[in-house]
Amino acid sequence: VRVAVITEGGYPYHGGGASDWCHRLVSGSGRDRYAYELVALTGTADRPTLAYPLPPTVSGVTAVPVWGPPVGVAGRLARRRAHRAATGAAVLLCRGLLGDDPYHADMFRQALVRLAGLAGGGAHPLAGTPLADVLVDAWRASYARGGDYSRLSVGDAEAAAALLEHALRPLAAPVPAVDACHPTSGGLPLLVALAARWRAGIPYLLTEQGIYLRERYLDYGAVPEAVKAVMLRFFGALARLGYAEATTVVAASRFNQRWQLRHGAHPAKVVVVPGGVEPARFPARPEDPAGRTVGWVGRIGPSADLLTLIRAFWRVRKELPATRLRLVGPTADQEYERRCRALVDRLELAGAVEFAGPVDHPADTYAAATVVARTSVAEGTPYPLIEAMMSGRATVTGDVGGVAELVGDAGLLVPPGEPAAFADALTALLGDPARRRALGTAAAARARAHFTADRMLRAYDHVYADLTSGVTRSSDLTAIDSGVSSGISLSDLSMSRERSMIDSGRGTR
Amino acid sequence: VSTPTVLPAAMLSRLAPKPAPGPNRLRRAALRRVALYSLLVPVPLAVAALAGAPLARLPWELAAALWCGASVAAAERTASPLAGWPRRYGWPLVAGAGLAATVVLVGRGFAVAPHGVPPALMPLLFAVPVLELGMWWHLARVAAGLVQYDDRDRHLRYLRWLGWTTLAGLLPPLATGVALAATASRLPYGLAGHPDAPALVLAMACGVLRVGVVAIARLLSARHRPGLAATVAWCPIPAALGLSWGQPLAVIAVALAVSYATGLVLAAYALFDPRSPQ
Repeated sequence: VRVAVITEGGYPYHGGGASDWCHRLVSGSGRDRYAYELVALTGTADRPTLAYPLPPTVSGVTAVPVWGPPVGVAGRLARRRAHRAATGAAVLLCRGLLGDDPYHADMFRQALVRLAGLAGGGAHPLAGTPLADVLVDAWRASYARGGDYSRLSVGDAEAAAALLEHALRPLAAPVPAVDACHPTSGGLPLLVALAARWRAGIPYLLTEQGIYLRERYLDYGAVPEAVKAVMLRFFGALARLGYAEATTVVAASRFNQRWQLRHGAHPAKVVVVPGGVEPARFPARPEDPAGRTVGWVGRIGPSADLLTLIRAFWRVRKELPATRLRLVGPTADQEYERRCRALVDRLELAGAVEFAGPVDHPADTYAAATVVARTSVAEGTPYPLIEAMMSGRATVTGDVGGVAELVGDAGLLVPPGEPAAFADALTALLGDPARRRALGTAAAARARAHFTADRMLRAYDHVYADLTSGVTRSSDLTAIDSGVSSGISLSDLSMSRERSMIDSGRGTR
Repeated sequence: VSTPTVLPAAMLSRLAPKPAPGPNRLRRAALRRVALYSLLVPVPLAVAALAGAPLARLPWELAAALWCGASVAAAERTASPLAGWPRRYGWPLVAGAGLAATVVLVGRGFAVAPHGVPPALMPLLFAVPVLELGMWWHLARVAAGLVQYDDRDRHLRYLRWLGWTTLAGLLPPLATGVALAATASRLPYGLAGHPDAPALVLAMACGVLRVGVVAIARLLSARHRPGLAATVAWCPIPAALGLSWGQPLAVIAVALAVSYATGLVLAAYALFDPRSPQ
């Protein structure tokens, strides 16, 4: 079975929880019956170095730069035609973004179907089109209809158009001849799978370790509010379309499954496959290490909310002065790390807090920790937590995302962002060895029962079997070939302004 | 964002180019440049002149030329939120080098003053701060327009107004330079008989026209047209090189005026083109 695994900004070029999951998926035991093609969406055209050794099951890697130079259609006449067609699709796209009802969803879908058809030759479908103008006009039309969208200035529209144009470039990504696609998030990888489905009838399976849309809601980065609104509407519409078109949708937790169902995924399509790690890599070590150490493993960045952990640790130190805090993992945000270090200095904890950086053997980190804490304000699948549980460590975690169903009754959950609650839980566990050992033993048993790599891979075997035995619909291919939407046309929308924009060929920027 | 998806978040929003500077940052940058330029060129010049110290002409001229070239090569971009990307350095560097060469070569045609810097150099030395402030005004208006308007037609009308106003601001040096050049050939009899008077007036005309060429190259570079800026900057160089072979200063004045007028047409094209990056 040939499967195209589609990643964004991660495997095989960057490490991290989702990349580790991907690596397990393509290199785990029993994988030799699959041939994987990796399609990796990267930032720039510079090909990054591999962060993982490629297993023999991977037959090829295609890097698709999202922020590289634009690729246009060859030939002046062909380019003109493509711009006109793409501008028409852009009108549908921008109008489709403005509503959540089936009518707008169909417009959005038809726009992407057209753009996927245009991008079949490898040209970026919206490059050179007056997307900002179309966006401004669509937004103004929504005001006229009483829409309550935030004001979109010309500058905001330019910025949003640039982001949208780059976001839609994956539609032009080449997909190798495979039996199935497997986008690993509900964002841009979905576009590659959707294009392959519409162009070649290849079914796809969508896996979401974290909910892409939810994470964009929580933190989209430093862009103006109106730009954020456009992009969030785009990702929302894309997620709904992705769920509707997928043969199977896999959630890493029930929490994620609820988000998917809320955004229109059909209940019969959604299955929950929790992530897993190899038990052999994290042997249970029931014995306590020397001294009292609170361990933390992850990426140092705002979502990890280390400031809360440091403040909680300061309170713990008042009760248990000899306690130490060890922070292990790479830095995702240098500025945030500086803030953490400044807080450590301000609270006079410099001798008690260690920023250890990345380590080769995380199992040793868990073995050296008395209690493992995790204070993230958002979680997809927290692999460090599974690893800590498998190592037999008692854990204190914030109750966010799917953490509660992961930890169950084998660890302490506290409200996120509350240093006092974290401090109380940590102090209770550090001061009570019997309870700590009981929780550690329960955690190890729970992790080995529910969150092993073998269990995860077996589940994916079943999902792949279902996927490749299914029958794909052919109606969408007809839509691309004819270039005409099944239900919506520009004339239906009375878009005289957009029509004139398309006809006059304003799109050769 | 949770650990597994830190990088995907970076794909679009975090890898996006940094926003171009807004009006306030533009103003601060312009004031910093004016202060730095004044400290480097006019202030030492004035102090030296007041102190009666002997003035070597070349260092001041070179400093001004390098400043003009660098300001075109590294021009700040107009204020579209993503205008800073992609930034290419080839054409801006060509434009900057051409402008610096033009400034130096044209300056060689000016008569050597017995004491200090010849008056023909003064327009360039003292016009650069005005030019910086004018450029800030233009770019700040562009940035403000992007924020103020949510209607493309009204925004385009605003840009047309801004374009006409900017062009109006670029015209006075051309008019002054041409007028001075014309005057040089028609000086009253008493002055015309004076051996230095026509050359001095013609040199002043060249100095003023040179300021205009610098302003237009700077504007074109800031409006994402470094190729056109390079064209304007390099245009007068063949004529200026002819100075070494005894070419009269009038030819330089004509070459500068032609470059200037061509530059105005190109600037109008860049300012009024609706598809021009803002």
